[in-house]
Amino acid sequence: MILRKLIILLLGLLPLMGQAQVHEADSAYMADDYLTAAKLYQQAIDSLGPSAERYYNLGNAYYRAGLHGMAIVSYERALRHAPSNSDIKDNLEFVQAQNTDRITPTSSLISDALNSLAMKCGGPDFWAIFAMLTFILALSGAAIYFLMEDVAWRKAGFFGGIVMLLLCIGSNLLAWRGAQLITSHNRAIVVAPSVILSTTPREPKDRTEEAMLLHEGTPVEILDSIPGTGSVPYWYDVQLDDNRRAWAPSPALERL
Amino acid sequence: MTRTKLTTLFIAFLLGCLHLMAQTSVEVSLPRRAVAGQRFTLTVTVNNPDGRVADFRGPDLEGCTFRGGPGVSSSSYTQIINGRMQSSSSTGYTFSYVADREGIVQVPAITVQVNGKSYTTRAGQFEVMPAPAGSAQQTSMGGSGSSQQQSGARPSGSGRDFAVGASDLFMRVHLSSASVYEQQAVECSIKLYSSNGQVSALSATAIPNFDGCLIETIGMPNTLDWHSENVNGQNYYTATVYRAILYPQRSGQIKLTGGEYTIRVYRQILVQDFFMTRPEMQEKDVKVNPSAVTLNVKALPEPRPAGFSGAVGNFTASARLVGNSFKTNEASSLIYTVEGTGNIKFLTDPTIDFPSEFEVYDPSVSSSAKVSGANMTGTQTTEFTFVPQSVGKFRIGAHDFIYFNPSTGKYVTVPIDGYEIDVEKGADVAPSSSVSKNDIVTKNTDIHHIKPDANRPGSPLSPIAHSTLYWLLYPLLAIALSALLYRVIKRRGADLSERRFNKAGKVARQRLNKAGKLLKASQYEPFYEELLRAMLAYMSDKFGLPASQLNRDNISASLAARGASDTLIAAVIDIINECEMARYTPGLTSENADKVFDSARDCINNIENL
Repeated sequence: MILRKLIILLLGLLPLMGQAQVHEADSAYMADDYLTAAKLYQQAIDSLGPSAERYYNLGNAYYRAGLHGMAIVSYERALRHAPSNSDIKDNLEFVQAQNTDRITPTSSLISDALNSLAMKCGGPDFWAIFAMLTFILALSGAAIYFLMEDVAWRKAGFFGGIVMLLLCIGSNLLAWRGAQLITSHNRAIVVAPSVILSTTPREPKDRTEEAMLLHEGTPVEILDSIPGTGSVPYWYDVQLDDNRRAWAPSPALERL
Repeated sequence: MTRTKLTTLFIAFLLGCLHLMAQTSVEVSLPRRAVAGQRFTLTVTVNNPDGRVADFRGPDLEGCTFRGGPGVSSSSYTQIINGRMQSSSSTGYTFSYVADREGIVQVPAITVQVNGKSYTTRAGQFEVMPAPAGSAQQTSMGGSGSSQQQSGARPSGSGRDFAVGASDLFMRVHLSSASVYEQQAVECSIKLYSSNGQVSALSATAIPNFDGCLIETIGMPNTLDWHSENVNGQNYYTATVYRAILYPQRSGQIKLTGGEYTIRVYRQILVQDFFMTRPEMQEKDVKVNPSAVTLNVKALPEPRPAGFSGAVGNFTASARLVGNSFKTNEASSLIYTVEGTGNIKFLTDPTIDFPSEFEVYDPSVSSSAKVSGANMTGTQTTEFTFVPQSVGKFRIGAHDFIYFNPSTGKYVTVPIDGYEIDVEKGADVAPSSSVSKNDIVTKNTDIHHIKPDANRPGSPLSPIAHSTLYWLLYPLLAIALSALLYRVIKRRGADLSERRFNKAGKVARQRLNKAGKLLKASQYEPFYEELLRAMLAYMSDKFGLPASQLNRDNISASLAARGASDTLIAAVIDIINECEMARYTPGLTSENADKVFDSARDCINNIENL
């Protein structure tokens, strides 16, 4: 009984602790102690739960502390919580502009456009709510069609309903695509200052097994992973945005 | 005639040459060499006395015994340059003393009355050397470099060569400090030591090697300035032949070698020839290498503060803006001055943080420094010329001057504040009719600031599109609407027949009225047609019968179901029959038509009243 009360009390205190951490982190950031600020923001995220603002602040702290890759990871995570927040987008672009590696993406225009549209306006949740509204409008169109005696009304109800139904289907596709994107754990960022990818899932034995050199901040897509040995728990089969593939050691990457 | 002319010329010449005697001054010359137990002299010289010199006594010197004096000697000197005569004269008063003991002797200021006016010499001091160990009393240790040949080792008259021992003639490199910091000034001097001072010439044949140091050479007089010094109990004549200030550029041990000097020494010997004994000079060149010394250079302490100017010593710094109003396209300047003692000549130029709206020219740096003691003192002035290009309030950044003070071993920061300046509109470079406009230039961009107090509780990502409830909502909504529509439509069908039922009598009466008008106009055929339509429509509305099921049996059944009497049913059927028949019967009469019309009205009234 006492134990249960204690647990309830602790659970109640947890958010208060988090608020204190956020405050301390803000102070540390203002005092140019960026590593401490980053540590405290991370603790606040652990105790208060993830939020766009906290990830955004964490990204700022990492950037100021010189941890370029982790800053991008944090901004990407923040953007997943608030896909259309302009502050996060601006900072992410600012930090990405300092990436060493330049990649020319080869993905198709349509899928790019769809992906960016899915993140517009407020992201997948917006599209889901929008789809629900259009569905309700489509149902209203059907009701008008069935109930009205006036032919003009019936026509408007019929065609309006069809249009709304199509909009509903489209928005749901966007919502689904966006939801897949923001919950995907296959996206990763290079956080080591530089890493040599190998052609096989192990340390390159000689020069012929070296695939390419990536630098901090470069995004990759993880396609597959196999367990590694020693200091490398996993080897990831990664694909760059220009479709080149190689194997990367897991400590050099941070999954989103 | 010629004679008088010449005389006038001579007088004119003399008059023209009349001049003021040079300024009267009094100075004292201290003994160059004084050894304990021996005599030395102190000479007071009155230059250009313009009157009688009052008698005066030699000063009392502590540690010395007055022996006699003054011995007076005079000299005068006249020269004519381009018709101007200059003459100078001097009178020397020489006092002789015997030094009682070694040590420093202070010479007080001596006041001499010349023509009733007082002149005072500067006070000074000199050192009395200890008596040489085991040597006999020597004579003639005066200020001149010559001395008698010492007894013993008298060379033969024929020998032109004579030995000069390493302890008789040597050179040494002296450092003002054996251990210094990087960039800290250290005075280096090369001194010649001679046991008898019999040196007639000296030339450097190899230059000193001070690798690892910046060298600031100090000019030396051409003649050797002899002093005396006691080294290891032996008295030497010494002269400094080279002086320089060194600034070590790297830490560690730096070996300093003094190069090589060729020294011409001489000696005077008495040559006994057939008739008499006469003195003769013998000369010889000796090569001497000054002994090398090692300078221990300490690195400046780490960490060096950011913005360290490289200055080591003791400095002050200041900055000042020239003028107090600034206009666009008008040059102004900021003068930055560092003053002090140390490596003033080797400072890095300051970099001043000017706003990018200013055009800044390369700074002009001027430094002046002179040797003071074992270091350099002076100023370094850097003048930055800038031309503001835009109107507005600007800030010239602060630039702290940071130097290292070797005596405390610490870095010192001299804060120099920045300047807030207001730039006003100046004259346009190119006069234009329109107002000149500038593009806004972005100086720097940075990430946006953090969002403070981000302490709203958050939750892990769970998009709506991934929730089952969301997808369930679609069929649920569709089913709900379908059910609703079904019910609404069904109820509305019922409503329609009811309304028709209520309106049936009214519609039927309207049609009967229309038929009545046709009857009055004696248009029988349309009358029957209208009457039939009225009856059938009434039945259809009243009993909810579609037109296809509107036959006599159905009508009879419906009427019966509503409780109509057989006569009423028969009357309705009769009317329908009459109307249908009338349509195909020619020669219709008004009598028959009136009867049918009345019957129809009665029937409808009766059915309405059921």
